[in-house]
Amino acid sequence: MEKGLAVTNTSSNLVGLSKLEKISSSLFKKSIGIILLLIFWQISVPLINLESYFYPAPYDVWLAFIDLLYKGILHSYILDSAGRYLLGLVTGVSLALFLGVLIALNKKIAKALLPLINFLFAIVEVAWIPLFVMWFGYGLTTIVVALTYVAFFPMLFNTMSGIQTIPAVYINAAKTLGASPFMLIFQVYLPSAMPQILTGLRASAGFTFRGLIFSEMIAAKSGIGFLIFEGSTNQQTARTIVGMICMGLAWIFLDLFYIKSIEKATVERWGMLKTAESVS
Amino acid sequence: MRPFLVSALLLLISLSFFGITRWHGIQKMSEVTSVGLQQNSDVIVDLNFPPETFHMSILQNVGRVQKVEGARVYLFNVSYGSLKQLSNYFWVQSIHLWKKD
Amino acid sequence: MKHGQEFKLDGLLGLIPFALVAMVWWIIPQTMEYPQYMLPPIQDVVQRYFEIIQDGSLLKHTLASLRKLTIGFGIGSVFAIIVGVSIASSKRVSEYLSPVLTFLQSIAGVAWIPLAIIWFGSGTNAVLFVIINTIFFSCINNVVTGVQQIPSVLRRAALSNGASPLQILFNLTLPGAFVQLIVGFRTSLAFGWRALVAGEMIASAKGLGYMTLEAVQWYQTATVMSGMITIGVLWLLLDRLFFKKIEDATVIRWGVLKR
Repeated sequence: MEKGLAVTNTSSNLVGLSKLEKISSSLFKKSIGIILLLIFWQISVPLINLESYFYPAPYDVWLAFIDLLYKGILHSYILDSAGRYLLGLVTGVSLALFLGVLIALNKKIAKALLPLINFLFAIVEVAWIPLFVMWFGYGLTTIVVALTYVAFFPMLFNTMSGIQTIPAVYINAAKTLGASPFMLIFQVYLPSAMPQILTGLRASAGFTFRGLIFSEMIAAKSGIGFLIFEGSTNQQTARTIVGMICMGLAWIFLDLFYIKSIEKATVERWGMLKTAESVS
Repeated sequence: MRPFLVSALLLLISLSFFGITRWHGIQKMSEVTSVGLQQNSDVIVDLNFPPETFHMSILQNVGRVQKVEGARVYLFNVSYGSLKQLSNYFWVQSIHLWKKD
Repeated sequence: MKHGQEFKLDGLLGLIPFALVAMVWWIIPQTMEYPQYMLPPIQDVVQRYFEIIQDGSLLKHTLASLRKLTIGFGIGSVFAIIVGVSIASSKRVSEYLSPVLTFLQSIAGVAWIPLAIIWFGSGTNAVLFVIINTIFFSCINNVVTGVQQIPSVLRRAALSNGASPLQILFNLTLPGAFVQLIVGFRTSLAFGWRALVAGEMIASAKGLGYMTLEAVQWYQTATVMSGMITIGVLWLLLDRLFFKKIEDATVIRWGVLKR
């Protein structure tokens, strides 16, 4: 009897309510892990019993966070980091798109450029930083150059692979219908390679993010990476942890609002094949 | 869809933040502008807290730091444009003219 | 005949950019004026490279780096397998822990270096910690996913045949999750390698990263470039000769992963 009532209740109260319940219960599940972690952390502080510069408690970190916010340091650092990230990412990705299309279409250029590109790729971006610092000094130029470098390769390889795996049928059909090279690129090649290109964008976004933090540690006087580093040099470990948490939150923000939307667009429309390149 | 909404939201927040700090900044500048100064001046800048390295480097870019007393910084030879910039920071409480005797 | 000729031409084509770079590099010092340290003549770099090979310092640094990498990777991956398998065995636990692990994965690596320096002081131990941390968090999700996608039917079959937990681990879980494991390990090695070089630079631990960054202080660009080239070559060897071969022989051949 009651069950019958419950059924009419949910169906007349609309799906909206159960959807809210769904979202809040999944949020609940997700936060349990984090809350447990915080509790363990707080408990471990008196147990480990070291000075707060060595092992800060969550409360110390919270205080440092408020302090940084109040003094206008945090938002300035975040803005600096964001600017560098976007500059580097956009430059690297555009270059990679351009070269990627070029290489995928012209076998001669491909054979000429690929060995050099592969060799450069092997020299991890981390290893280039000392040279960049020598050439461009500390500051924005070095960081943006380094980030362009990082963002370039994943996007390049994915663009190449995306264009190379277009079924020849499409290309031949377009050519038969008299498409000019310009039209071919923008109306056949790029749209067909879009899933792979967007995979490359995701990968580039991720690598550039890590590259940002590292370059800021070495070559900058502001930014989240610098915050993480600075906290350790003047014994303000709580600030370091604030930086680390900001970094994680920033990535969640990027991933949730930008990258996942890209994923959805491609998965929904085309269906994605997980390849070895896309995972690394 | 989502990226555009989020970007628009961020833009909105930044613009309003910028607007509010600018408005407060104009108020902070009131003493300097009331004297009608358009050239370099010596100022006393009050912060909400004793400045850290971060703030000192900004202040040093603005003018020559003569001395620091707690949360009060004395600056030589600050241009009008730099003062405007300085007034925009929300951690700057007030800017007074420094009349040396 | 024509085929063989084609191959030769292609190979030569690939060398062109290198040759061009070498040529430009050789000409520039002779035609333009600029401080020596910005771009040392290519002969100097080559000479310096041989110098550090001969006096054994290159070998010393390379071994130091590789040592940290091997230990770090070994501990990190074993740890990840142990923890990952345990987490994967309970659906609820993995549901609760997965957001935390993803969060930690996003800050894995370089961000931990300052903290490691505070805890372990400058030097090898800090870098080791960072490498283990990076490897662990980079592949833990792969381990969990890999184990979870093994059909539970197989597990129940093994149990009903009287298999011990250890037997299940080595004969079912690990081989079953192999694809995800290999992919995860390859990715985590990529991040771990970067963390290694970065850590050596920031935490002043003996190794290639340290050698490269230190040379900047002395404006010894030739050493910097030698360090970079060595780092590049080493990574090529590690990734292509090691992991790619493993992938080719197993996962690609089985058709489970496409390249």
